[in-house]
Amino acid sequence: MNLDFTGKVAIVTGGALGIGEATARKLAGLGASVAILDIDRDAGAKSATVIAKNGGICEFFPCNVSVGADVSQAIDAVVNKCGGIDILVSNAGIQLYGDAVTTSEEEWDRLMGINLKGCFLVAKYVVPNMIGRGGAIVIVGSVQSMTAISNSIAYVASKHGLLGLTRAMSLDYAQRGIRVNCVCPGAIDTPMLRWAAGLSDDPDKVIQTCDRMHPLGRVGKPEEVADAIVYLASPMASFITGAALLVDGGMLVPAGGMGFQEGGTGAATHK
Amino acid sequence: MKLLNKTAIITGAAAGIGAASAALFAREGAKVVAVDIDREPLDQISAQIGREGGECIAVVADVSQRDHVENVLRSTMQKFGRVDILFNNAGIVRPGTIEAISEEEWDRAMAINVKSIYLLCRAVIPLMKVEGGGVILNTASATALRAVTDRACYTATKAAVVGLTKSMALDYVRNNIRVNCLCPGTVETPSLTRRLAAFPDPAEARKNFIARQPMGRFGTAEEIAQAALYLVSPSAEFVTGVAFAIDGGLSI
Repeated sequence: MNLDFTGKVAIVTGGALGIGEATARKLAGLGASVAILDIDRDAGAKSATVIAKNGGICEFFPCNVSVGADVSQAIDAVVNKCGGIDILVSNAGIQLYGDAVTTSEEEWDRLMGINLKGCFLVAKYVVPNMIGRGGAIVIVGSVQSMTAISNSIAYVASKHGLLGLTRAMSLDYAQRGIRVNCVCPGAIDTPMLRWAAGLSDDPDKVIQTCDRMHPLGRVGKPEEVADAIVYLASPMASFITGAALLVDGGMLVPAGGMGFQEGGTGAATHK
Repeated sequence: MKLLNKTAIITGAAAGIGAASAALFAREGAKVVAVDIDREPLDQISAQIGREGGECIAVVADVSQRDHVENVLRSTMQKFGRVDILFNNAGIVRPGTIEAISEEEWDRAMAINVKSIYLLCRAVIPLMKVEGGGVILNTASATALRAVTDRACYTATKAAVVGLTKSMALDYVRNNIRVNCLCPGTVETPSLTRRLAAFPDPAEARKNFIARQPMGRFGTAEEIAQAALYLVSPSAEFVTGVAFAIDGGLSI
């Protein structure tokens, strides 16, 4: 089956950079009319312009996904401009580190607002536009939708919540032609990963450590996650709903993590 | 007695699973701090535990509010001087698809079901660290493992609770603090009665709810409380980071 999204309208939240940008680019390359929603006006407008220059149909709509009025307005603008919505890629998200004690209430609220409530709000305003027409929603979760890493309490809670939301919405709309799935990437070479690595004194070493966490021996590329998203959004995945698709280079396969495997008994290297 | 001289904070203690757990923990020797937003039933539970010879104080609090949580800790430390067990059980169920749920309802459910756990843990963990360890138990839901229709917001909150549980289990594993969560199925509680009463035909709704139970019945609050007791007791010393399904087979 050829992947052809001609005539389809796709919204990508957090589409300015990283996985969102790669997804917007792929969908536009396959013929979709793409609406990038992002809070970053400069990067969002730039990504949309580059995609359009390369022959794609793409427009930028500024949006803070954690604010209902903002989301409602942006979705209305997309519908007015494009005539409807067929695909939603709910990708906007932030990361921050901290445990239950060191995470501030403000940080907690901000992350939960963007990562989890943002997904709810965008879906809330998109779904009525899909009913009767059908549609596909792909939510960008994480390996941390299923497992946890240390010092990442709010992020892990939000990503677990997204998988719950995926499953709940997939059931609620299964009979109305809307499929809802979740991709769960491992570490992907995005500005977010570079930011996280930059928190360390030796960012290159952090990336190398990330490489070694994956049995495939490297971090993923944004395009590799975008491929999985495009697949789930396409008719090729017409019997798939409520699924969580790992795109993690095998990260979650080894018991105790790769460090444990490489350490033999694991005792020497297991943190 | 499995919890002799342990101090246990239990939120959502005025009814259902929380009330049953407060009574059971007290019978097992725990000093109970019963927390709820609903004063009258909370006082009744507390008084009943006292009549049965248990030790219990009642603290009225909205656990989604930072200052209320701080007051819970103040009251606990004044009365008992330490915290060994924290059972984050307070929660609300707002039925509905994403379209039916308002932004305000979403915020409220997230605050009570998820943020309250963060707030209480943030206050309690430093104390547990000083004391050399402790046990935290959170009430998630079977819906965090397998979804049901018309519970989008609830499911998202409870899945987040599972994530929070695993994160904290990992973060504090070397501090001798165990963190687990319960994933109950549908349990015969006042909360369920209220939800059923909201249906046009509550008797029919009850029948439908029971029909989806593999065991053909609801769980009881006492059954969930027994699971809670196991997870907070020294019997579960090697158990951390788990989402413990207790749902009559619902999540199979």
